[in-house]
Amino acid sequence: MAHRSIQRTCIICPRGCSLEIIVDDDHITVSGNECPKGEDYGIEEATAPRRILTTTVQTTVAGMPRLPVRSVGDVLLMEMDRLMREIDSIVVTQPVRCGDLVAADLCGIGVNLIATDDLRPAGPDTERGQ
Amino acid sequence: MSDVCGDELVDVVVVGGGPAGVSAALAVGDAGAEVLIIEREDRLGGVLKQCIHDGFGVLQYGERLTGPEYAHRHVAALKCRQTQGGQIRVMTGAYLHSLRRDGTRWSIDLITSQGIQSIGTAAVVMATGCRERTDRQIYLHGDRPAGIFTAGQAQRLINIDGVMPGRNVVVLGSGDIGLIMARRFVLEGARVQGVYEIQSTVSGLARNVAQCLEDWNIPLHLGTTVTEVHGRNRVEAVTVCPVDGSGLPDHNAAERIPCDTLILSVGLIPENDIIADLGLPLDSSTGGPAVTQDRETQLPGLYVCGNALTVYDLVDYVSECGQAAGTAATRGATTARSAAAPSAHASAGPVETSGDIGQMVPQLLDLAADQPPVFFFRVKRAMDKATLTISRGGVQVESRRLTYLRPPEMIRYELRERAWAALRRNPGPISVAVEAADGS
Ligand SMILES: Cc1cc2nc3c(=O)[nH]c(=O)nc-3n(C[C@H](O)[C@H](O)[C@H](O)COP(=O)(O)OP(=O)(O)OC[C@H]3O[C@@H](n4cnc5c(N)ncnc54)[C@H](O)[C@@H]3O)c2cc1C
Ligand code: SF4
Repeated sequence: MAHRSIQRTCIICPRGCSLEIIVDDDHITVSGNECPKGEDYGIEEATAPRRILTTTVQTTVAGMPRLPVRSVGDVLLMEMDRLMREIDSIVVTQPVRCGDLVAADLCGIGVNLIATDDLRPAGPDTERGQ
Repeated sequence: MSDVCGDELVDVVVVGGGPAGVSAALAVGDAGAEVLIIEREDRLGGVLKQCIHDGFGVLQYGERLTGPEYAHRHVAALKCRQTQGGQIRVMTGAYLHSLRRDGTRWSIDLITSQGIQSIGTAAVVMATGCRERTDRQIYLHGDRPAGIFTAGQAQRLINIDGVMPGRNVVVLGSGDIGLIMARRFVLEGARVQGVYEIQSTVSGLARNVAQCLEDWNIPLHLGTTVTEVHGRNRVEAVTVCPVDGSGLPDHNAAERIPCDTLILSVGLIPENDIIADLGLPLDSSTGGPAVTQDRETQLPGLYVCGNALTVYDLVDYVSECGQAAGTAATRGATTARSAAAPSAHASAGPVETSGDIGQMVPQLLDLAADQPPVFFFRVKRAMDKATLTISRGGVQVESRRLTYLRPPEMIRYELRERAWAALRRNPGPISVAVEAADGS
């Protein structure tokens, strides 16, 4: 792996320090952080970054073939492919509301999925032009 | 909606039910006037409905919401206001066809499933969003086989319709939607050969380069463009070429890349065809009309907000813009009811920009307003340190050091009370400038 340098904006607090993370084999140095939390974040970014997983799942509800979903909390980037394969087999057959649980404990690693939109049968959510 | 008919006068009509339009309508409702939202699609939310990734609403809600979640909060706020007696009405499946000045009011023609319908109103808020530049607007040789999509079309196909546009993808242009779609394709199991950008810098936000490309090892090729598309019925390959300093492709270094899909992310254009028909000139740098800090155009009672005004990169700013327009439109509508309304323009002056400012709203300042204006601008080039100066008649009223300025990141600058008072007092032309400091 030798030497690599990563630029990241620290997202731990609104200050948003610009971090430079230098990875030399297994030694990591972080600079640009105004506080120690930035260093931890920088090390995590270089070793095991975590992200929110956002995608869609299939539905059988007419007029809305896909339901957008996201993970509750962030997941390891390196787990995403595996999670996506499991999410591929999910089919939602009932109406759900934004925030409802769609799948629990994906891949047995404690990742829960929630809906990020309402899923209901076709039809406008308001009065239609007439 | 049987009560809305040709003879009826609505205080304010908002065209477009995206974040800008919904924010405008909420502001009108809060001010106690009646408002009608016209939306051509079946649901409110605008383009947010297809932006399923997170990162929306950090400033407004202090959370990283997905696009549909942000839209959901907006619609919930609207419904809540309706149940509290707010006179907010929504008409979906209604397309604004044209509008015209009719004495002291505006007359609006809509196309609905029932035919054409007219509505009269004192104030119109245009919140029609933006559209994407297409392959017809960029220089691209070769056939036009199937498999060429704008990033937004691909986003809609995958996220709303559940259809994969292709499996082996080249992205041309490094706009944010292109970066987000590059990741989306990879996540869905497709191969993304790379993102090719003709400029020497990325046009999207730095965080999208990190989280969409670097996270997924998608190569980014700066100073490189697609010169030719190959394939008869379906895209089979593209030719990519590095460009020299003056943007000319170096054909000796051309490379043919097999792929079945070309995604274009080459810019967004504010959607203003309808108001351009009114003879309102568009600002060539923003692509929208010139407005005051109230988002009022040079036609009294016509307001423009959100991405129809200028392409914002944060939805929070879009909503702020919509809110400003809605508040002002209510004021306009209520004064128009009582007397011959003095438009903001009676007391508005143009703002000149100079130095490294590439584009800015508002372009006009209503000097009668008590509240200091908020400027939104982009710089032409990257600068680590710069000075913002605001002056009138050669007298400087404000000077501020700014750090880390990048063209993709819009800067929000709220004028301080004291500077605003001085600006209103002094005579002469108003100017806003950004100059690089310390040779950065
Ligand atoms: C394809 C695409 C993807 C984007 N993705 C992102 C993203 O990931 N992140 C981000 O921060 N920003 C993104 N943007 C920018 C995004 O547009 C803004 O963040 C925000 O949604 C703009 O809000 P708006 O209300 O101004 O426009 P929109 O959300 O576009 O809403 C405009 C509304 O007006 C309606 N309308 C237009 N013309 C008419 C008419 N004649 N009659 C009736 N109704 C009409 C449209 O149907 C639409 O609902 C994207 C833009 C596009 C075009
Ligand atoms: S390094 Fe510390 S101060 Fe800087 S953004 Fe991160 S948490 Fe905030």
